[in-house]
Amino acid sequence: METWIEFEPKRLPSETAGLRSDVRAFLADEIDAGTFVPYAAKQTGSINREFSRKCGERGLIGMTWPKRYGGHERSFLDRYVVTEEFRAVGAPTRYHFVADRQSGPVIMKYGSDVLKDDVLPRIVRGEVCFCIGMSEPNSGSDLFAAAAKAERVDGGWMLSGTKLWTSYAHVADYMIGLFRTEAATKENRRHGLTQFVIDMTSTGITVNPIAQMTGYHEFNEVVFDCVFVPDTHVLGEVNAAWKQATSELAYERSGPERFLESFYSLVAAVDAVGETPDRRDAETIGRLTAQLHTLRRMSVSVAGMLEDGKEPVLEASIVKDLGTVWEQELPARARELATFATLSDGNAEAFGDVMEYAALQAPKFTIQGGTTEILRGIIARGLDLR
Amino acid sequence: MQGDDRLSDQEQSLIWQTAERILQDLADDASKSESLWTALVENGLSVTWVPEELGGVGCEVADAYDVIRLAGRYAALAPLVEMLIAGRLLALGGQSLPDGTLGVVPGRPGAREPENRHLSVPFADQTDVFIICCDAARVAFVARTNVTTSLRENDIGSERRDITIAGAAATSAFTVPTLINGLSRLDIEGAVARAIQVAGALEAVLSISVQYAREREAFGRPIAKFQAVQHMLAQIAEEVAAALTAALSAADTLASPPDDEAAILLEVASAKIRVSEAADKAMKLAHQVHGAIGITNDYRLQRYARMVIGCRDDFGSPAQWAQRLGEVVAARGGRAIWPTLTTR
Repeated sequence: METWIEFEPKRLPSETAGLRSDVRAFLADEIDAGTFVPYAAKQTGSINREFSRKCGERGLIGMTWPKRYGGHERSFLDRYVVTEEFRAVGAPTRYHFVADRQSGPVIMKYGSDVLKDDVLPRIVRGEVCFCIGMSEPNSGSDLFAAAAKAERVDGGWMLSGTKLWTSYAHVADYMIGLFRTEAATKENRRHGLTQFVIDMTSTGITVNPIAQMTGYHEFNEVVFDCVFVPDTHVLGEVNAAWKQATSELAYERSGPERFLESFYSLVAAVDAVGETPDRRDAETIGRLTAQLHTLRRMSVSVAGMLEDGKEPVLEASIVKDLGTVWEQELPARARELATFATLSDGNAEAFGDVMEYAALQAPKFTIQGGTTEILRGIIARGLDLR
Repeated sequence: MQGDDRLSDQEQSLIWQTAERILQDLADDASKSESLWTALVENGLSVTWVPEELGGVGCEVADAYDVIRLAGRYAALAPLVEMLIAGRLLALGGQSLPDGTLGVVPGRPGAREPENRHLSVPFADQTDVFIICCDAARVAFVARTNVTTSLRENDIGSERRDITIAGAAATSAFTVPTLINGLSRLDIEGAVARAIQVAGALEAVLSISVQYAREREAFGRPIAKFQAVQHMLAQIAEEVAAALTAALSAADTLASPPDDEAAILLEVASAKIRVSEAADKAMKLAHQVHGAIGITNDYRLQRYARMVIGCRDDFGSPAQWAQRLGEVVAARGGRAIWPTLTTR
């Protein structure tokens, strides 16, 4: 019999318990100091430079990176514990999160020494925000249809074109952007794209906010008009960015942020229902808990695979698809769960606010960072069907 | 093929290899079910985790879960999983194995009327000694001589029977250590064993469905080339992954239980709940991929469908387990959900 999928029931090492309580203590202090409100809906993703800096000071950024870049050479499992603790309560990690999760690792793997020595230590200190420039007005899922151009000039490249849906471009210090350096060939339609690290203060960059239905400003249009990028800021091989994309996806796609984004709605609903729910409400809570527990166990398993030096693209895609679909459905189910709960006036309004925001946030979960349909295509490839 | 990281045949344990060889040879053909059972018994696979001094072969708990997973993969029509569950309870209670084939009366939801009647008991006609739950702390033997079985007209699978137990069944009750206050150890061990079995069955269902889609042609190409079919198969794979994770995590928990009832309940209930949900979704998609042939008796998919449907409410329904878990979670409040999920 063929087609085996392996998801070992990896346990986090017992040593991580100490790290977890340290992180919880740090977050408790920050909550007391008013830095953020736990399980609050609208702040998921809020920018807090000071908080990021504190995380850097405590060694909570660049945890798995080599010491030579200021990293801490800790395991993926340690990093996992920190990530999930932050994510569960909604701590404001957005400023440094992308840099830590994927931009830094990509620079480490494909960047020049000049770039690495310049940027990585600053990421580790929580002083730098990165955004990802991939999607354009005419390309999203079809990554290799990117048309924004990079033309060769003396000492570097000149960028022109538009990137779209770029999260936090309005805050970012750098973008890792995908630009077309050559036309695709008949033999290889992925040929011709190059990744660059772009200083967002460069002349010629305009960032325009995109208003969206939650009212929250995260997405942007970024217009490039003759923007210069030096050779030292090219990542990997020119025209061969497609080779670099896969490992990045394995990092990006399997983490706890892929199923905890609406967790606050479950917390609110369980509180609304109260300590002695009826049989069916208890059943609903039990089901949702079981589903969340399983997603977490799968995610830990993938973290274990990363720790073992593997590139679990198939497994990460599975976790992301299951996770994002679950977190997308959660607000509606949480709302249903609390339908018959009695809430006092103040609480009912607050609860309504949370549920509405969660519902408005939900559609993007299965679109951002790789749509459901793309993920299922990757899984199908993993089953040797394509 | 994601085969790079999986164990090659040579790396699997001897138990795994032995069980798989027997199942591969004999499980496919219903007419060979007697030979199948004989081979399994002769190789000690029906008593894998019972200590030698009680009449077993004294292997690790993980070895028995491997056997159970394989029983699921091959849809074995033999009381293998049932006898293993029974043996486990006997071993936990320090009881020697009686002679013959052991079975279980898996508790099912709802009140029983009359009390001595039990529906849908697997392999009842083959069983010499049944293990049945008395209360949360005790389990009892019931000899075959005290049991009458009846076959329903619309029977789910040839091996399940409704039984009536005559006389005082609890004459030879024994205590079994509890893991969760108020919950029978039989329900706990049974639920996890079934979760592993069904997860194994779903692994096979994925393999069968992929193979079918590659071979079956329509509109001039294998149906596996259609995106709609690819996405269905991808979703089956996702459900297999979730089922395996939940079941293996729970099995790992029972192999070395932590000193925390809520943590154990979380694992066992999650396995029961998530594996059932995976089974519902995966089977539905598998049937859809197959089209009409999937429901026929000639084709092998229906063996898995029957097994999975039959097992569903053994040792409690998913809803019951969800209720138990939900009560604990609700009592602790919303902010305790996260700490409850992260004790390990």
